[in-house]
Amino acid sequence: MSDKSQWPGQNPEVVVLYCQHGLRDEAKGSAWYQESIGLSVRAIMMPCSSKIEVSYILKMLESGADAVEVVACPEKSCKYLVGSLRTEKRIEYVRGLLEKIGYAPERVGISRKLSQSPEQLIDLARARADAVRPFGVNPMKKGESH
Amino acid sequence: MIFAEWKPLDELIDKLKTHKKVLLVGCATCVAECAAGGEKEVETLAPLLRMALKKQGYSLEIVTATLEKQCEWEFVEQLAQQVAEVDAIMSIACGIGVQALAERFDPMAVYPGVNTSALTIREEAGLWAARCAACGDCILGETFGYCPIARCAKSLLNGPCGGTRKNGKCEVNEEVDCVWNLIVERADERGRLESLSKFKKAKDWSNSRQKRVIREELRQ
Amino acid sequence: MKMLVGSNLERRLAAGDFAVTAEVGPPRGPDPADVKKKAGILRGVADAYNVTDNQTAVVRMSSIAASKILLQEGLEPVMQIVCRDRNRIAIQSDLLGAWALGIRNVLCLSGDHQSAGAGGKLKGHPGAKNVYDIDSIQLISVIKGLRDGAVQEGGDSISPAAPFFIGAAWTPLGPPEKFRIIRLAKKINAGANFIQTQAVYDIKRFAEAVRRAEDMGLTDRAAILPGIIVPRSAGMLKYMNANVPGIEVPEEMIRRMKDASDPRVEGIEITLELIDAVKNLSGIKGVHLQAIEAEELLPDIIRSAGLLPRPRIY
Repeated sequence: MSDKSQWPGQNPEVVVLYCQHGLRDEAKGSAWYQESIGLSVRAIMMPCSSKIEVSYILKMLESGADAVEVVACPEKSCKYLVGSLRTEKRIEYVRGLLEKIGYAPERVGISRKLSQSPEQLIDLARARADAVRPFGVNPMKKGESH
Repeated sequence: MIFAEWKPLDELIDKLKTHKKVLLVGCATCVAECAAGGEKEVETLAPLLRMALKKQGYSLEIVTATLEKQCEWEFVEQLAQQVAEVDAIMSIACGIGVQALAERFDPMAVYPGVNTSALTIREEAGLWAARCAACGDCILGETFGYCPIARCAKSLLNGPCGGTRKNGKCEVNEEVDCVWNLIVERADERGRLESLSKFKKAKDWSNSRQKRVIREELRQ
Repeated sequence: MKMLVGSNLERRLAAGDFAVTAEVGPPRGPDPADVKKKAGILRGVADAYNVTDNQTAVVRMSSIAASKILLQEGLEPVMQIVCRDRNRIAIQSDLLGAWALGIRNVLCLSGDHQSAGAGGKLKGHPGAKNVYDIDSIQLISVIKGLRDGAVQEGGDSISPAAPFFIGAAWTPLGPPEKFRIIRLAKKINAGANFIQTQAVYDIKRFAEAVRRAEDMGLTDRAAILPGIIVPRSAGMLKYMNANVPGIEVPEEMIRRMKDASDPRVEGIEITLELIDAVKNLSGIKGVHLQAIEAEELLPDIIRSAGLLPRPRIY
């Protein structure tokens, strides 16, 4: 089955939730949107990746995001010491939940990065988009019956 | 606290799929403490169920609420308006909460979203262990603070049986300490080992089933 | 000496003879012929025969029924009773029935948890609701009441009394070891007349435990019969040492089985040595032999141990 039919006239929408220390460019503000080749990115800054709740991720997928990429600081760099470690466990948990309801766990991922440029964040989102491409558009997108 | 865990999602979907609009209700007390039925879990389970049902071809609207306690009528009453607008309720409170909703909102179908299974303590983050069996005949004063009814697989009163492993764990469940080994060690530490040589007669189990208690001084 | 019950086992012990008991596992089916077959193999080699009660929570013909079949075959049973499946009402009722059928020896056990029945090829009933209304020591006390007081646990009387020769189990090497001797005393104080132990392989350690029992006067008040399970392979010994609480196998014994040219023969040699060793321990009144799913080995073993023929009871 060709890729294009899984994505009729649209590109994957990836939400990037990043720790404030994950992006070195403060000029971007706390939430921004960018379209790039083959995907669109909605980026939201968190004070620490550990502020991300499982319910936020599920609600983003429920409202149509095709994938969610969390950018957390490497373990030894977390300013809250154990924050990014806890995030990792939550990501594992939500991937397990998705699998239980027949969704590809690949729709949620986590990268451990510090001080990225906006372009680097977009690249992380692109990698996530590539990972979910085989699974097609999120069934929850408006107008989709299945 | 009263401990509960989510039922398998298939089971929940099976009950919900025949409805059009469901109220998912949590509770901010025991089930919130064991991360099964609090507001956080309501907000996790609701989108999860919506996505699961949509994928299977069902259209179901889920609205949510979380009560302070589902075992108090005054809090249960707060749901009345929302209940009027749905055709089923799913409660992720303990069995007591489920039944309170079922009684108040009869003939509305009320489904349990969790399995209530034990009275536990949170030993550490993410780890709960049964501590009390609500047996109605507490002997903690004789067992140095360890409950053999809840923690011994055989609820022995004159334990241990021959099944204590070399590492002090229980033969039945190797993750669990043999509680009688704990009792013996603590008795020994306090120089009270001899107290355990006293024969404990057969237990009176009658104070713990079908309890219905009236306290006259509190009646209005 | 006045007999409590007058069973074969009691008379044997009262006469000061070294007693022999063997184990008979009932079949996983309803055919009495299976029990009769084992009875035929073991006739005459022991003073009494333990009939297990849904051992490891695997459903087998009931111990009361299998015990009755043994009686009909001329063998004296020791009916094992576990606390896992029946409450005090059912147990007392079964005891009255057992007595009516001629059963006179009982062994009181708490019983393996129901989860033990699911393992290997078997599904068992791990979801069954267990009972454990009373424990093994309370059970001893209940039976003593039926015998000496003609009284039920709840206080009502029975008429007439139902005298049983009461047995209990002992795991001397199980943790916490310091408490095992106290628990043995509890069982004897509650009314146990004879004790069958968890399988013994480490004679030195077992002897120390028996000495402690002797010091406490326990070996005079109840007859201790060490359990001996015939080893069949080094693997079996290794498994039991690692996984069965209370069983300790010396390293040398495992090595010996491993190096043996014929482990089956070696296992019988070891069994005979163990029987001989416990026979010479002060305070030991007999031996309880088990050959798991290999009862046919026991007659030769008991004969080679010099324990046949069993002395007649007059």
